[in-house]
Amino acid sequence: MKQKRFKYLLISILVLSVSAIAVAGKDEILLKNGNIITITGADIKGGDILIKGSKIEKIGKNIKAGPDALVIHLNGKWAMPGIIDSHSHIAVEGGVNETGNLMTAEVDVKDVLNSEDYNIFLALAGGVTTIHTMHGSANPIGGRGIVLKLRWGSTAPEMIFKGAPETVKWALGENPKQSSFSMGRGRYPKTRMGVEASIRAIFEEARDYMKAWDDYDKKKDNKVKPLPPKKDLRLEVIADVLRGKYLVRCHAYEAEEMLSIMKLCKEYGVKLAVFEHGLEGYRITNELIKYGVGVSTFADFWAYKWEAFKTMPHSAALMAKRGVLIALNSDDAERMRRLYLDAAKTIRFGGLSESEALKTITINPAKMLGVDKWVGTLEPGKDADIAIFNRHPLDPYTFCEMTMVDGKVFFDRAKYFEDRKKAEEIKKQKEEQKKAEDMKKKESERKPDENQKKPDPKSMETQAPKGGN
Amino acid sequence: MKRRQFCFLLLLTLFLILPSAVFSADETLHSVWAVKDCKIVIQPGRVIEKGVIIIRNGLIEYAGPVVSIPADAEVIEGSGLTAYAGFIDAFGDSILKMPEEKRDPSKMYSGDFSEKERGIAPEIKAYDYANLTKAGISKFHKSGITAVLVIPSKGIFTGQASLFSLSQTGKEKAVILKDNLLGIGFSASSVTGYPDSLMGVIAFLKQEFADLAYYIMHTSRWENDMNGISRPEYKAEFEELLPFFTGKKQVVFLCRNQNDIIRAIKIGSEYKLKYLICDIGGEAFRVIPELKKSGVPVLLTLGFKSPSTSIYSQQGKDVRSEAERELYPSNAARLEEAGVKFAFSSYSTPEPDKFLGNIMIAVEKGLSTEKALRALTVDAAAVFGVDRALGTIEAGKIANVVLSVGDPLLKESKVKYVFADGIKFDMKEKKAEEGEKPTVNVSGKWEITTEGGMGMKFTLELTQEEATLSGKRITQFGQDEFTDGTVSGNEINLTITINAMGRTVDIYVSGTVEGDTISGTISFGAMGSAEFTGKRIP
Amino acid sequence: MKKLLLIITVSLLGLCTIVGATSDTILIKNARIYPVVGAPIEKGDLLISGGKIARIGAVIEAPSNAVVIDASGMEVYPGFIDAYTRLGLVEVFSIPATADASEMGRENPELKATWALNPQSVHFATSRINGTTSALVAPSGGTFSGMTAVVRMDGWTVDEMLVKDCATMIINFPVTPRPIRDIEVKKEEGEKDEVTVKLVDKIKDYLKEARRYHELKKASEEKGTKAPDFNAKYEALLPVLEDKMPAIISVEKAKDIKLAIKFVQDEKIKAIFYGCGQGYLVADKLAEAKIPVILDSLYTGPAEPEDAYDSQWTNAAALVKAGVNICFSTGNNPAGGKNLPYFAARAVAFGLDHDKAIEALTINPAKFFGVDSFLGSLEAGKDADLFITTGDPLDCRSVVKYLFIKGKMTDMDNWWETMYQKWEKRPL
Repeated sequence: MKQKRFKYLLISILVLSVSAIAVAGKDEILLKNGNIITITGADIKGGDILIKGSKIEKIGKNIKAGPDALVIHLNGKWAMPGIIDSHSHIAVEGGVNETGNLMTAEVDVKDVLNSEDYNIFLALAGGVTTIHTMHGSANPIGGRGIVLKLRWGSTAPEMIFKGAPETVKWALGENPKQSSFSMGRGRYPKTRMGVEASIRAIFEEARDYMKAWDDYDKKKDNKVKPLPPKKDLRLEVIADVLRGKYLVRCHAYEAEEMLSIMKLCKEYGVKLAVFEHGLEGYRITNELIKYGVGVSTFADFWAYKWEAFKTMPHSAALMAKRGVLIALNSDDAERMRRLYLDAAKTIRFGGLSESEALKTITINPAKMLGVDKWVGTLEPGKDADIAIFNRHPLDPYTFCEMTMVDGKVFFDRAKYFEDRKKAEEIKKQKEEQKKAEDMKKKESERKPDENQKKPDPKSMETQAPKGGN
Repeated sequence: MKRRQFCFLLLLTLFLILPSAVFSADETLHSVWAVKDCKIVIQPGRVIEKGVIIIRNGLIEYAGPVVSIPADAEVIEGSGLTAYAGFIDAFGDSILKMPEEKRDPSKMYSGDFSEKERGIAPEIKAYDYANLTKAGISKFHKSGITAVLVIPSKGIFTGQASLFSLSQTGKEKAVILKDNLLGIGFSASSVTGYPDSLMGVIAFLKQEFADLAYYIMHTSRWENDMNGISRPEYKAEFEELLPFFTGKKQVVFLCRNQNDIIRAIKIGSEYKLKYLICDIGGEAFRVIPELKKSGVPVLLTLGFKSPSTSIYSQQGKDVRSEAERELYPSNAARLEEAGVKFAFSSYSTPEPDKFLGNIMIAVEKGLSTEKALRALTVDAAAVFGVDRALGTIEAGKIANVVLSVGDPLLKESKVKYVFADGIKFDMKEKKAEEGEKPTVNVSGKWEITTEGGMGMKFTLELTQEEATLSGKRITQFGQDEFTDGTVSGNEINLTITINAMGRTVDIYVSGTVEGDTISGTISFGAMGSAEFTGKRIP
Repeated sequence: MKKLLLIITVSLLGLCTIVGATSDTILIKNARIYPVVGAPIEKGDLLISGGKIARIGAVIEAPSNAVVIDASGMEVYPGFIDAYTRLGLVEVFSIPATADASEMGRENPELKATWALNPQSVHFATSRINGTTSALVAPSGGTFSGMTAVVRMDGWTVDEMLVKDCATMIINFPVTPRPIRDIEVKKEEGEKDEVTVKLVDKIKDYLKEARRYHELKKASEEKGTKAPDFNAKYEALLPVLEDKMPAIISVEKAKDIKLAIKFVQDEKIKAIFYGCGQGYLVADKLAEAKIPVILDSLYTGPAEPEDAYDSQWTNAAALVKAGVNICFSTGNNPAGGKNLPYFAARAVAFGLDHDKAIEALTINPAKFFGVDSFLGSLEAGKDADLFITTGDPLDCRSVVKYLFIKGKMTDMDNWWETMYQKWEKRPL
């Protein structure tokens, strides 16, 4: 009994349907008659977007597309660049923190991606197209993160954002000193001072390591060949941090720890790119600008820890108004689905304009992640990462209806519910079929003689083992 | 004193003094067998409808069309029976008896865990912990399994495997390959130190391999020169790992889902290891292109469960049940279609009858019976490089042969005889049909006192496995083992044989157990019997 | 001279409007008034006097001592009621010294939220900025957590804030665990429930004991038999058993909701369900049983993986459609109290009628807690708990300019404003 065709019902419909749209994506797609928010300038009312392959080809009014183009009628809906979440931990398998050691720069989230994390789909349903997923905040210097495009249905390597700079995660404050854990390990450090001291210590270790290798390189062609230093993967990453190879993203909340680390980085020549959370960043905007550090923060999540207490929802807007590069992030699979709601809050709290508010979830995180060449705005030549909303994205009653990445539709709300309905119907059919079979069985058990007289060929068929449909 | 009484007392005394005679039948009397007129599946695709198998001294001497039977062979009437090569379970840990892990609570605070506690224990050898028992072997035989690759499976370097022939309880004789395979697992314990995350495990492996390469370089430089450089520190862990790291021996990656398989292929090819994949997650079919490209053999498990990381596990019970019913059981069938090499592992289905039953489900889902048989025999042997000795019924190979009523892998077939290393095993029907199911557990030490005579004492150390009993008889003069005991209801029966007065005497011990006391008779057949009582020693 | 007098009078009047809080009579003019009961008035006036709403009309003449607020272009709503919070009980979750919501032990029905409520919690002031004027404060933990209180969002002491003490009991229903594997899926309807049913039976047994206690007490009073020893816990349960105090029962999954409905009917107690993430699956049963529902925060994902991705947001509309009375709450996060109207906005985005949403924020919770005779709508005679906002109160971009509690203008200053105003001033 060889089953060559392996097609299964519920699971094909519910699970793979989305990538089915993606696979069926045409080379030319015309999004027709929508309100287009490009982020680069004025919105275009009743405009079109022409997509060729994975790129935006043209934006304007009354664009003519080729005869084979797939036309999607927006009917006045809103199109904006796909939302970019610069602080996330989804799609990671086997733990987001390596707590076995204080410093764990040798670990890499790229090694443990799970492309089937359903949270990816849920993020797409919230208009998110690019995320930066990373190590947690248990270590002063943790492991490396990675930027992903949410190409749902692809493998993990296919999701990696090509060209995005690599990042390393640092953490200061309560998490690395483990003050929230009542049964805290007897592990150093227990104060912010110790946290900084441990960073300095490993920088010096890395410098020694680099020196040992430099010395070896000078002497390795000698007559008496020296032993090379032992390869230490952790110190290699830290050495690369010192060499400026990575974008450093430092989790911090309180003003003084941020100031102190900026000074430390200047001292060691380390390029600190972004503070994660930075809820007290509004107090040190001058210094943030001086050191060129951006802040990827929350709109209004606060008071869950002491270090998150001395802040206000106006913080993001205040920092932005004073000239700091600000992005809004989720740090949470659930919040990721509603980042557009968070953006709207910066209008009320701190008075950002609509366009400034939308920048915090599009071009600003793109700049922070070093991918603004490809995403973050809707412009010809950039990737066709687009989120379609039923109302203006900052409207209180808006929601995402369709999300495209690289010109392929990965989330379609209408189709999602169609598929669920189909799956329900199939399930009902199967249940009724089973009920009928059970009834027949009961009947035959009650009257064995009658059945023995006339074997029903049909009932034999239904009892034959079924392979896949 | 009457003569008979005197003999009886003498026997009783002798019973208490003398060691027992050889407890199993003399193997050399039964080392030549001929199975006549049976159907022989030499290997899948080569069947002889009516032939003869001759087994001599543990090896197959002849397997082919009907020939004359050697004069010294014991004959088994084989008409109506099908002979096939005994199955090989390519990865399991059910016969291991690992010591209990005791966790020191104070270490949780200091984080000071040993390497063994952190799962870095390449020196753990399955051979040392393999526990072959008669009852256990019998269970495997009933499903046609005659060889098992045993491997510890916990931690990062899980330990070294051994391949055993299921022919006897003596490990030394049963082992075919010792320490031939190192297990590498991806699961990190979250409470025992570095590494405690999956990314930590991968980084750890990379650092470990870098350290191993350095160790090799440093050791060879020192040994070649011994001048001008410091000498390397001896590292036992590295010495254990060397043959596996340098490709002399094989490594098997324990993969809990399709992502782990990709990770394993990456590590295996980067460090040029001779590696296998154990598909614990059952998802090999989802990464067929990568498996084909790397050519790595896969040991398939048969649990048919969707791993929690899989898309099928995250969308509710309907999707998951359908996937576990239709998709995951078709794993082997898809690999067959794609031409990926595989064998079967009992890891997720440790009970042999479930292992076999799920292979039959795989066949229902599209795996060809021929391929299933190959995976259980000749292909499995090839994976471990023992195909010259195992896997088919051909002259020169180890005599691991199953004789069953009915063809292999059919539900209605029943195994009748099993040869393992040329030793014949009869498949008895369940003991429960002869007696009742045991209602007591007599495992442990018992102090027995005989009444009458001189009230002598001896100790019985009993091991009960369901209805079979084995153990030791310990007297002040020594101890010896016996097998073949039975437990039925709350009664035990065992036979001990001694050589006394120029004769071999069988002594039957039967007793009734009540809680921690036992009472019964030691019988010398016609010569009389003595009553005894006993109590359990805590 | 006349001119000077005029200037002085006008400026004094101006001063009065700014300082306004001191006056007892306030006239809000030219606003869009949304009474909740009855149609909205597109442009009208509302007079507050002596802590109450004195009059609502098209044009009201300002009494002589009235402070006049020109609310042209703005909207007036009854104060929102947050139907389930930890306000005043928890300041910072991760600092145990600041958290007083969850007591040890399984049965603590005699505990009262008011015993631990801190009126100076920063979260009151930050949570009322979007129009919340009252909230239910609930203890958590165990099966019987204690008794809630409805309090106003401003006051010097708990007594001053108190609207209704011992408003409801809190009962936390057991949660049916998810089936682990396929086999359990088949047994689901019968056996997996057994675990939950056993735990529910334990709750029933406890109530039985409480009833027994009261029987003995009654017998002792009426017939002189020996009275049982005083038991504060059973005493606290009496109003629940006598159907005088409702119990808020927290329950999420459809299975558990069905069990809870049966429980409530068997025990003959008045109940309000809290949570009901899968309420939409059993909406008709809830409607039939006439059980009101307090929805938890809408910043959550689906209750179970079988649910649609937006089920937490479509839930409200589905319940209302089936005839269930709902209200909103900010639940376990006192720091997120200002989000109350945003949750209502999500429900409206996914199908709930805007008017129904406003009802769910005002008159519904007032009815559930039995305070609707003086709260929950803009009607003459009711307490003047209301706010004036620049636009749709569910729109996060609207700004509440004035908030009145018991007819007094509340200081809109808070922990956030203090920091914002200070740090805005740091020189660049």
